[in-house]
Order: sequence, then structure tokens, then C-alpha cells
Amino acid sequence: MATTSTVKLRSGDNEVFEVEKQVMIQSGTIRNMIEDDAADGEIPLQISSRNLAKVVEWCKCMQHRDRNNNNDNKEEEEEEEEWEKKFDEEVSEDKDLHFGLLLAANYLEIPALLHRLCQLAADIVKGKTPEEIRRTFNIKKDFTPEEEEAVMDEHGWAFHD
Amino acid sequence: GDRLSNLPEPIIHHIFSFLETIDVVRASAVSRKWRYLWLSIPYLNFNVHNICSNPLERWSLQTTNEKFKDFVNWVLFSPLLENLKMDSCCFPDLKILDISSNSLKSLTLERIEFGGDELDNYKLKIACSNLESFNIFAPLLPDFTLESLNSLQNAFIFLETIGEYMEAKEICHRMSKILNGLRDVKVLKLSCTLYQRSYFSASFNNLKSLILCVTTAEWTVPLIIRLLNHSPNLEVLTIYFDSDEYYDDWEIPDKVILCLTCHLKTVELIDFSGNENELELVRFLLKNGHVLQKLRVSWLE
Repeated sequence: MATTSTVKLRSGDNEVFEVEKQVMIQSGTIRNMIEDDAADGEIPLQISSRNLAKVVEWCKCMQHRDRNNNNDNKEEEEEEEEWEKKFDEEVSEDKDLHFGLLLAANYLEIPALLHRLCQLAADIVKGKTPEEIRRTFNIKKDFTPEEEEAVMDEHGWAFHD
Repeated sequence: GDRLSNLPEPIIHHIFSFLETIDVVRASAVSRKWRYLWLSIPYLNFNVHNICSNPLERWSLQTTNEKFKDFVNWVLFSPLLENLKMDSCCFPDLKILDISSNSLKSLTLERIEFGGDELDNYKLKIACSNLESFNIFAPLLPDFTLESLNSLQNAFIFLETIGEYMEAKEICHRMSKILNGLRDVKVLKLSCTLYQRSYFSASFNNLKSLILCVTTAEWTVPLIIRLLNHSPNLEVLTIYFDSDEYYDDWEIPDKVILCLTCHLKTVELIDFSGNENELELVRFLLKNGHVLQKLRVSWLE
């Protein structure tokens, strides 16, 4: 029987986060564990403490927002928007954090967070040339000369005059 | 490796789902791993306004249009495309629609509109050696070429004249050319409402099932007879009647037709209203269909 109202999450680097169950049920993975009464001890996760802290922060903010959805508190609403904006900026500028969170959101099954992070990744790719994409994401161009030629041939319409 | 490329594929698809097709396709020039990722995106969209990669580098209208055309062609005729359906497509400036592909298995062109009223300037060419199913519902263009459709199993041909009156001879000439391109087909559905003269030379040796949409106009009888004569292995004949428009008395002379003597087993008559012409056809089929096993009549509601 689950009796406590909190759940303990242990990060990959052994930091323990105690969070309200109500917050963490946004994660399908953790919700299932809670429902199966498998969440009474600590839940070990292969997620770094830095990323896990960010996920927890995000879940808290979303839960707070959902709870306050009905009362018109202008000030709080602005605060939340401000927080989200900061979150977006921070993630977009920090690739380690961005990819770490993508994998964490995927693993923890938090669709809204995954959706947001994918949207942010798409915004970064949008309108960029292949070279710019390579530079941004540190991708190595691994085409053979023949493949490179074929690619440039195929993409004649995309770049040159 | 880099972290973006190493994300699980569903996440990459999720990211791509926020992008315009052109961005996704452009990204295929990034690296080997990215090259064919775009092929598994479930939806495509084409927007001429997104073609310019760099907003500072403005292309002329003509360049933009050319590049857009190349982009659409490149995506649609990738060596993996198997099904293509173009529905309600309008081509105000297009003169040639050339669909040539060895991978395409199914092609549907529905409500294709060409710009202007001078349809005579348009050319439609279809050359797909592995095409199995072809459906077209479009204007009867003067230059409509069907090439190397040797794998074709099913064809549904609904062509109409638009605008100006067209001479029966001209219609016949155009239809004859089209039927010639369909000679390997196994199942043919044909709207005959236009086809006032029944001349065509194609022989449908593979045809097993023929579905016709007919009016009770006088030219329908010679057309049906000619189609039967040119389909020696036909087993199933289905006729949809549209008896609203014309009414001429049919007289169908009894004569030996190979498929009626040897192969035609099933006849289905649909939207049958029981008028003299339809009864004459039933009489003819019953008398001459020596191996006929089943005649099914569905009345017009």
C-alpha cells in the first residue's frame, strides 16, 4: 500500500530527489510505478542529477500552472510565462542539457515536455544550411567523395543559383 | 557520434514533424545518417514560400519557381515512392505533367485542373513500368501519353471534355490512344459517356474484368460490342447504367463473340431501370453468352 504522498527519485549520480506524487504523475513511467505500488522505496533512474533537477522543476511548474488554470491570477501567470521563456532559452543554448532532457523526457514518458523539447530542437534546425546544422550540433560530415557529389547533385535546387 | 543523430528515431521524427518538408530534405545533406531520415517522415508539405534557404539572398520569381519544381520532383520521384495520389491539384502555369517512375505502383489523379481554357497546350505523360493501379479523373487532353505500363493490373479511366464542344472524331482519336496504352490491363473500369465513336485498335488479351459506365445513347452498343470483341479472355462484365441523358432505341445484332462463347461467366448490371434498351442487352447476353453462369441485376433505387 502506498501511504506517503511523496516519491523518492535517485539520479544516476546518486542524488535523491523527494517530490510530491501529484507532481511526478505527469511521468507515465513513474505513474505506473506508483499505481503498481512499486514506488515506495527510492526509484533509481539513469538520469544525471542536473537533468533530473530540471525535469522535476519543469513538472512542478506545469502542475502549478494546471492547478491555477481556473483562477485569474495575472501576476502568477506572468511569472509562469517568464519561467517557461527562461527554460526555453536555457535549453536552446545548452546542447548537453537539451539532449539530456530529450532522453529523460522520452524515458520518463512526459509527452508535454518531450513535445516542447522537440519543438525547440526543430526551431534550431529550421532554415539552416547543412553546414550550419553540422556546426551547430557538432556533426561530422562522413560522406565519401562520391556520396558528397551525389548529394550536391540531388540538392542543386536547394542552395545554388 | 553526435548527440542529435544518436537520438532514438521516434524523437528525430518528432523533431522533424515541426519542420517544413524542405528543411527536412535539406537536412539530408548533413551526414550519412541523416541522408535517408526524411524518407520515413509520414507527411510531406510543399510551400513555394519556404523554398528560399536564405531570406537575404532573394531569388527571382522564375528561379524560385524553377527551384520549387525541382524540389517537388526530387521528393516525389525519389526511388522509393510507391503510391502517389494527386487530388484536387490545380496547375495554373503548368504545361507538361510528366510522371515517370520505376518505383511507383499506384497512381491516382483526381480532379486535376489545368489553368486557362486552352487545354490544347497541355501534355500529360505517364511512364511507370511497375505501375499496378492507375486511376484518373481528369479532362481529356489532346496530348495524353501512356508509356510502358506493362505491369498494370487495374485501371479506372474517367475522362471528360471541358468547355468547348469537341468533335466526336477528335474524342475517338484521343480515347483510342489512351486505350492503346492500357492494353495489358486485367481490370478496366471505363466511363463511356463521351465515347461516341467506337473505333480503337488495342486488343486487351489480359483483360478479365471490364466495368463500364454507359448511357443509353445509340453509340453505346457498338462500343460495348467492340470492347467485347477486343477482350477475348473476359470473364466478368459489369455495366453501370445512367439512363437519364439520352434515349435511342438499341438493336443488338446476334453474332459470335469469342469471350461470350468461351469465357464470360459473370454479368452484373447495376442501376438497371428496365427500359427497352437495357432489356435488349439482357436478351443479347443471355442468347450469346454460352458459358454465362451468373447474371445479376441491381435495380435503380
